[in-house]
Amino acid sequence: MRIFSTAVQQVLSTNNIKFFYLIELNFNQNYYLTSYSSDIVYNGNTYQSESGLFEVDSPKFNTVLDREAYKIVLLDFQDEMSAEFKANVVGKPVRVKLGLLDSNNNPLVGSNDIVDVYNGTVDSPVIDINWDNKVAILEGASPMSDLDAVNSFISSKAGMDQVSSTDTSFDFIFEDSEAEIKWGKV
Amino acid sequence: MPDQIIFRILITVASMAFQQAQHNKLKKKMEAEADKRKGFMIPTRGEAAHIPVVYGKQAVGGTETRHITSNNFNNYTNNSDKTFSEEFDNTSQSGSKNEFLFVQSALCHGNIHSVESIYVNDSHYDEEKAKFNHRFSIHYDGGTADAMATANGFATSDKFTNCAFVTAAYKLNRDDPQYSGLPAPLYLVKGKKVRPVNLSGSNYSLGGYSYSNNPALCLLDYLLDSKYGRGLNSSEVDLPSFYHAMQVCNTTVTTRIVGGRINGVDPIASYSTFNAFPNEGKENVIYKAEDTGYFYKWDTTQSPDIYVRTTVNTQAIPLYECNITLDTEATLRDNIEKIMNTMGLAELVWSSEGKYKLLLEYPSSQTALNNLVNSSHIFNENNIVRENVSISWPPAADRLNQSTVTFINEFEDFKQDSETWPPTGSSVHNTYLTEDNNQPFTTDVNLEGITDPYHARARAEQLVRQSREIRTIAITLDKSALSLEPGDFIKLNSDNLDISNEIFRTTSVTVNSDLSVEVEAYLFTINMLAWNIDDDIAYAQRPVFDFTLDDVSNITTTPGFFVNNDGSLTHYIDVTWDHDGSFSYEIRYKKSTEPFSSYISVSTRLKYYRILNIEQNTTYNVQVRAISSLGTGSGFITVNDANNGKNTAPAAPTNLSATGVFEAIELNWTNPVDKDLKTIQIWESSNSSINNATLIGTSGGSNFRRGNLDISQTKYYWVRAEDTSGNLSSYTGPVNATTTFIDDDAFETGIRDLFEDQGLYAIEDVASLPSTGAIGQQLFNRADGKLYRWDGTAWVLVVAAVEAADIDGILSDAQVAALAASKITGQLTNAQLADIAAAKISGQLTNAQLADIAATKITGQLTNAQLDDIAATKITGQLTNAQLDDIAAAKITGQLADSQLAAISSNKISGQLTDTQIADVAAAKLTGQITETQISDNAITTAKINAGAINADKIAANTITASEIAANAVTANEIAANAVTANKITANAITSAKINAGAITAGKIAADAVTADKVAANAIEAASIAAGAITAGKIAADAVTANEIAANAVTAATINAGAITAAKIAADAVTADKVAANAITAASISAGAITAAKIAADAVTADKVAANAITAASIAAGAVNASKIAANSITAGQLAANSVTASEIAANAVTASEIAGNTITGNKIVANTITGGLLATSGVITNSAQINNGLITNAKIDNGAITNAKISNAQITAAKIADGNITNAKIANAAITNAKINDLNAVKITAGTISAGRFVGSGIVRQTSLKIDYTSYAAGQNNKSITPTTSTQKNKGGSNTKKPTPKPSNIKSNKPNNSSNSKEVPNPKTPSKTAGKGKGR
Repeated sequence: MRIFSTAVQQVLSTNNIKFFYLIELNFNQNYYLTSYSSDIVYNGNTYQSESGLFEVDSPKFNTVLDREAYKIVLLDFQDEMSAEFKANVVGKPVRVKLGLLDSNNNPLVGSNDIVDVYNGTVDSPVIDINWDNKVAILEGASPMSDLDAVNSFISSKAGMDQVSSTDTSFDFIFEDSEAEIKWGKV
Repeated sequence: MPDQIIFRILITVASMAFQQAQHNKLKKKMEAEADKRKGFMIPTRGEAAHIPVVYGKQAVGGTETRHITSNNFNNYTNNSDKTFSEEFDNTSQSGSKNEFLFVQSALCHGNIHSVESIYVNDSHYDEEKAKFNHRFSIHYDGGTADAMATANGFATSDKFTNCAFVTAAYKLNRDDPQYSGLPAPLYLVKGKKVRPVNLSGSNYSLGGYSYSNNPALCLLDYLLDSKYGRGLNSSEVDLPSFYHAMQVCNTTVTTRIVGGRINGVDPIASYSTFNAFPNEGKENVIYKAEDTGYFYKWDTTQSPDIYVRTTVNTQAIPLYECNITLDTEATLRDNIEKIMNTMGLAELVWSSEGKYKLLLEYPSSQTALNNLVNSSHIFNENNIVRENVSISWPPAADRLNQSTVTFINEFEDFKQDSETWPPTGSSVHNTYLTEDNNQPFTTDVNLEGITDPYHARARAEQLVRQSREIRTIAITLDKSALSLEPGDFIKLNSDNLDISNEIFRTTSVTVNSDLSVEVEAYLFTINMLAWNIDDDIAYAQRPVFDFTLDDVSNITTTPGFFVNNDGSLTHYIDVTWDHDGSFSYEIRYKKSTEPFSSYISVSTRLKYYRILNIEQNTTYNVQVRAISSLGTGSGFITVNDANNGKNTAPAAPTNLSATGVFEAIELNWTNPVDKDLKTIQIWESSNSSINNATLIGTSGGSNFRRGNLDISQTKYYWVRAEDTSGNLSSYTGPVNATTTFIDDDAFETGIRDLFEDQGLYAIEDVASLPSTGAIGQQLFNRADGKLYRWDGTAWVLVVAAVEAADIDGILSDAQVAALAASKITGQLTNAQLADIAAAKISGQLTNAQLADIAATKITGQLTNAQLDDIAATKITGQLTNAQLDDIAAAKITGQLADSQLAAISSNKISGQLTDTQIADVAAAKLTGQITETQISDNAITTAKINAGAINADKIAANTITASEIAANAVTANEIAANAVTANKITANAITSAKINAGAITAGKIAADAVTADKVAANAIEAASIAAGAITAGKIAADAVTANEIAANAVTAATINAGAITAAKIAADAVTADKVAANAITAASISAGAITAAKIAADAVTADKVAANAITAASIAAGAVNASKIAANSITAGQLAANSVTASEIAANAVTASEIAGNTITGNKIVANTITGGLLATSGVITNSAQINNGLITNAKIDNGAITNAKISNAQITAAKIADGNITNAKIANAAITNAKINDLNAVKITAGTISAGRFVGSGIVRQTSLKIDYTSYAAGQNNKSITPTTSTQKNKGGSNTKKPTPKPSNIKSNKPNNSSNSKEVPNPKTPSKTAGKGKGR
């Protein structure tokens, strides 16, 4: 179960709960965005308020083995984001966090006050431009999309070269060829 | 002719010789061809394979990487981790025709635990009959080339980095090939070493690599390893959760027999019965008869070879094991799923802390399951924010009533096997089938990771139980569920959902924008977990579903009424009842006198209904029943009740009054608020007694006129209310009145009209002015106390302006609303003003308008604008600052005397006050600053400066120079104490030149004048002190402490040799508190410095050594050894009586090693000192040599002390039993069974002892040959022990000629073949199951 800070618990005990999102995009540069009305400094990073609007999926939490996708939409994004997309953002980390406002409508940004919502990598980036606006869509395959990778070790010369270039153990694998062994024969 | 014959003969002979030669040649050719056919031409197709990862126990074939054939085998210096060989020594061998084959194979990823055994071509590598010649050199990890390989043609660079690998050498017998082509080895592997999670205190850490097939640890290894797994950092996994899961997996669920060479035991081959065993067994196999549960070995040491009973060790079976081969070609996720599947209901989640967390629970009781629910995760209907709850049961495709699990059985050396649960035909199976309408909901699952029948059956059982109990729920909860994470357990209660204290495990959590939480979860019960429930029980606690509806209870009827707005009454009966659950309810009612068909039926979802419009004072039958959503209803429950209507009195009238008028009395009152008020009764009497009163009338209103009375007649009256139900209130009254002799109003009106007709109006007193009046009409308005007259259009004041002179007396402030100065003519004298608020004066008062005015009569502030000019003389008393806003000085004529001003802020004075305007003003009366322009030149004379008025902050810097100070003007009296401080004197300001020689004498320094705080730090340095200046008399006692002596200030060189003599050290001067802790360390004392000579005899006495001064910690380990203790130094005399008691000797302090052999002799042990309890540890007395003959007599042995368990086999021999010792009386009935008789022959039976009659019915018959299961004898299964047979006995060689040989009691002869030697091998995969908890496998 999630353990909330005392401050968060206090807010949650009321009926007037307001919240905001923090988004961290670790692309070629790091981008910190927030849905709050002004910049927020959290964990040493300043989350920009005026960096364009964004939409995020509802916070979802599943077991690791689920493959459910998670979508982040950046509205009216900056030009540098286009450059990032062109330079590749697939596989780059994306984090979404949720924070609450206290009774004075001030954001709670204590180290234990922010709730992790999504922690994954970009699976499919899309830029959608029309006359009205331009939209960047980042979709993560799942919080643990990297588990779809394969970490293999093939009994081929090339496979062994990845481990040890001087090891010749697999040099005689007859890849795609046949050889005859004369055992008990000359 | 003869020549021809000879020739023919020669020809024949020659031909025969040729044919023989040809035959020999052909034979050689055939042999050559046959030789060519020897050996193998083995085509191998190379194919690179993914090196697998092996966790736990598995059989792997490996990936062959290179083959070399050779005529020779070269011996080598073994560097393998393990070698298996069969008829193939490590000696150089020469051969021919490539009869040696060398094969290298990569087994799996390296750092495995071991290879336990090898199969070649489905035979064990050392199977005698296979006549193998091979040798296997195995390395558990790569990195070093195999020595056997490099000695026989392989490269030294073939190191198999990161792989476990094998070099196999095979020697082919070309004449009798023992291999059929390329050998196919199968290696029985204990796989990867993994790192355990250790817990120390509250810290979790990873331990070193060691073998384990704990699934949690295997998963952890896979997540952490970068070569084949995810390569996470350990900080990215939640070690506590893995530790907990590891503990759960390690839980011992049963202790059972295990088999298989991977477990160091021969493989177990199971057969349904002993008779199903093969005729000829194998040596290294354990045979199990499922019907009896007995185990047998094929014993070739017997003649003939036979099956003999054997025992198999048991092992603790953990809850989960992971014995799996992972394909590294698969995705990490797929491999993680495979490992997870070995744990059943485990969840791997990415926690909110950003770590992988493994959640695994296996609660064995409901209490344990309840404890898994956090108290904040118990939800009820108050937490369910929406009603779109979805509960799903498994569809038919997922519902099971039987499951078969196929697996690779490690007990049978990894042969394919299966387990089915529940067994077909079992009561559990039948129960399930009945529930499922006899539909065969079965499944066949191939499980990876499970390799033994216990876990296989448990999984099969759990699949079935889970499918029959599980259900999933999708529900939306309020924000109290925000702390939920997948894997958390929640408890739900909801009447609407028919859920009561059910525990679910969450699988998905979604937070909505309103912070409600969508949760998906599945039902989790302890009965879904196979090890929690007996195998032969369908349900541990099968809920009974009662589809009948409970009747309602506690029906109560409450009659009542309410009053309508029109005053009428509506009568009703309220019906309430109790009932659990949420249903519809049907209520029907009728008058008790009406027939059944008159029932009126209504329904409600509440547990309350009001039957309206019933008749008063009539009994009704009321019935209630519950109705489900499917329309079924409970029984009706009937009650009877009647409504007696309203019987409460209305409230009484109030405010009753009576007024006598001309020949009548008028009554008025206030009616009560009762809606059902019908009328008011008026009762009248000539006196005040109600008893004499009579009802004279009623009124529907709130008044009554009693007429027809005479003048001056007095009457008493009462009134009371009556409602529409006839209920009467109490009486109100009496009041009385007397009739008048004339009509007052008519008389008054007549007089008034008479005067007005004459134009004479009286002044009429009115509360307020009417809107109009008659011309000349005068009214005195009580509202403002003024007299008005109607002038035809308006009411005008009758009194005009009042001259000041006409005002007599004093107008108070309250009498003056606002007074324009211009309205004041003449002079207002002080006597005319009581007090006047300045704010009420508008315009300017001129001097002429004021005769004189007392200052105290001005409240508020007079502003400048309100005063034209004012003669100072006209102000008597003092004007205070608060009374003046601002006032131009010019407006003051004459002089204001001090006595006329309390205090006046200077900023309130504009312009200059001239001297002539101020007679004298006390300085204290000036607040704020008087600016320069407000003070005339020379206006401030000495006399105008008060004593003490000028202090330092009134004097600007540098304003007072020497020229301003007269000679001798500054004396000591002028300098206050402490006035001249250091910061008042500039550095170097006082030089020697400023001090006359001899100026500072002792007389100038007062006693105690120079104290430490007068001397600055560093003020007195060494150079400041003359030699010999400081004598002892100048150093106070305790003045010099350690703080005053710098480190190293006093060195040996500082102290003259011999300077510190005993005389310099007072007796007891050096006490412990004078020596700092650790001041004297070992380093402080030279070696040998303290000799015996330095310690006087008896110098160190007990009183010199404090209690506890020498503790164990003070004595280094080994410091006190035997050499430190002189021989005989510790004698009894050194040990006080009772000084060494048991409490002085630590537990285990005196072990056997501390006691020399033969040290403790008999004379050192007091009689009865050693009791039985002191010899509790087994193994103390190990052999008979430790007990002298004759030492143990009967008297020393307790009755019952020697039990069977204490007498080993063969211990009691005939020689130990004297003849005649065992008499019939000492043998219990039935004590000697067949199993206890080894060999009974005729010699042992006295002739005539066994009569023929004793064989009757015994089944003992004479036969020519016998098949005897001696084991069955041992088991007491006499019904199977001797089976007549007509077939011959089989032996290993298949010969039928051997006769049965008497066997020891615990062996069994080989089983004869009833029909032929080709035995049908029964299905070994139909084990019977033992009833009882714990899987029964």
